[in-house]
Amino acid sequence: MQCQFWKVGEHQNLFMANLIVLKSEEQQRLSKLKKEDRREDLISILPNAILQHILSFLPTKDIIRTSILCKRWKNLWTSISNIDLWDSIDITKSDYLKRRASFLDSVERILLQHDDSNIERLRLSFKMPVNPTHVYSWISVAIKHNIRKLDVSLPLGCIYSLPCDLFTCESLTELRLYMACFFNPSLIHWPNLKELHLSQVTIFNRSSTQFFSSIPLLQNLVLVNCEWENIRRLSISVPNLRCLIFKQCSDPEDLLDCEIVVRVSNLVYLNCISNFSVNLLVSAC
Amino acid sequence: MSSSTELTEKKVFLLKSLDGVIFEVEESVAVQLEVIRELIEGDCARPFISLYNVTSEILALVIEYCKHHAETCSGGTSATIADEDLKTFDNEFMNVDENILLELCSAADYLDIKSLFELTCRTLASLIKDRTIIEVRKMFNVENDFSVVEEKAVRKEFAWAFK
Repeated sequence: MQCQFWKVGEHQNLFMANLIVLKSEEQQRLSKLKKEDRREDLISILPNAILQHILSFLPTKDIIRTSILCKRWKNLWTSISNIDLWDSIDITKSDYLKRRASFLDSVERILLQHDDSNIERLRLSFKMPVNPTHVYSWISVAIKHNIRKLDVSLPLGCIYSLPCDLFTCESLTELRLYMACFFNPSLIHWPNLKELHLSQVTIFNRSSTQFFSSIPLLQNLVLVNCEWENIRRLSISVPNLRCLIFKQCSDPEDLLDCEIVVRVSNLVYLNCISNFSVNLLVSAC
Repeated sequence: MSSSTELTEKKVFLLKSLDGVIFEVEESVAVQLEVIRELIEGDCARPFISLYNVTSEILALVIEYCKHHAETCSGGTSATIADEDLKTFDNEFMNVDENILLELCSAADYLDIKSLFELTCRTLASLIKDRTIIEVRKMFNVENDFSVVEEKAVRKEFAWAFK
């Protein structure tokens, strides 16, 4: 109706207004239905995008539970962008093994059946031992879905291997690995990584200067009990670094002669506990 | 100076709901509805804007929400006080029945009011959280269309989540 008031040539605006009218016809029908029966299921008629946004505020376990509300909800979980899985199974309970198997089976399903949409954040925090092959494939899934924030925490007692693609994953902005694993890639390229936490990680065949130059935007760095193979001088030279936490409390023998040089110009927080000398140079890198 | 500012005519826009009720809203309120803001900028908001999929009951609530947010943000109070005030208002505003909440969520999505959309989605999620599936079904009138066998199969697939 109101089109007659518009000036000729405002195609874009006309299009927008028409869009509202077109969308409205269907909505009008829905609203009519709503009025006729207030006891109708008004949540399941919402579009997927809205339902998925509602689900995004729930813990992963609660999201999975909504899959049995009705058929409409059965597969909504396959596009969740924030996956947060941790084990809380009591090891002293008699059915521990059964529960453990059921939990790991669910983790596998949630990751392997994820649809084509991106995964924004994946956190896996396990106290139970996990098969390293599974961990490898779960991290691979996250990389394929353009993961931005990856946080994996696994118990000691096992060395885990990481997929090569992780080291060139351009979507990564935050990476937290609290697990015994090796960094031994031919190339590291993290152009968007701003936060890096490594604990129990061993870095091979790479000078520290080379390592940090692969992470140009790094702002927060946490290194806890990491090993640098064949490195005597650990140089942390990161122009944008604002927060550095460095803890080296493990067996110092390998690093007895090691020296750490920190070159920073924007540091606002430093926490350093170490068995060997640290040379802090606050200067332009 | 101040009297001349007060005398300046405030720009108003007319919004027409699905059931034909016309609401007069000031520009500061209207621009919070992203869809309307785009029409205003394109000078296409005359004589009134028809919102075919929002009932007068819901539109009145949406306008109340936008008005309060517009007034609080331009009221000259400090950011902390304004934030506290909005938080209290939002909490009280969400104290409505589930169906109104769902319609508000739908309207916020359609009218593209980001803060109201986030608020309603978060509130709906909090209603689902920590409730059993039977309670959630009852609350939102969701009909269980799974057969016993089908439901059992889904539960078995994710046994971890249902313990």
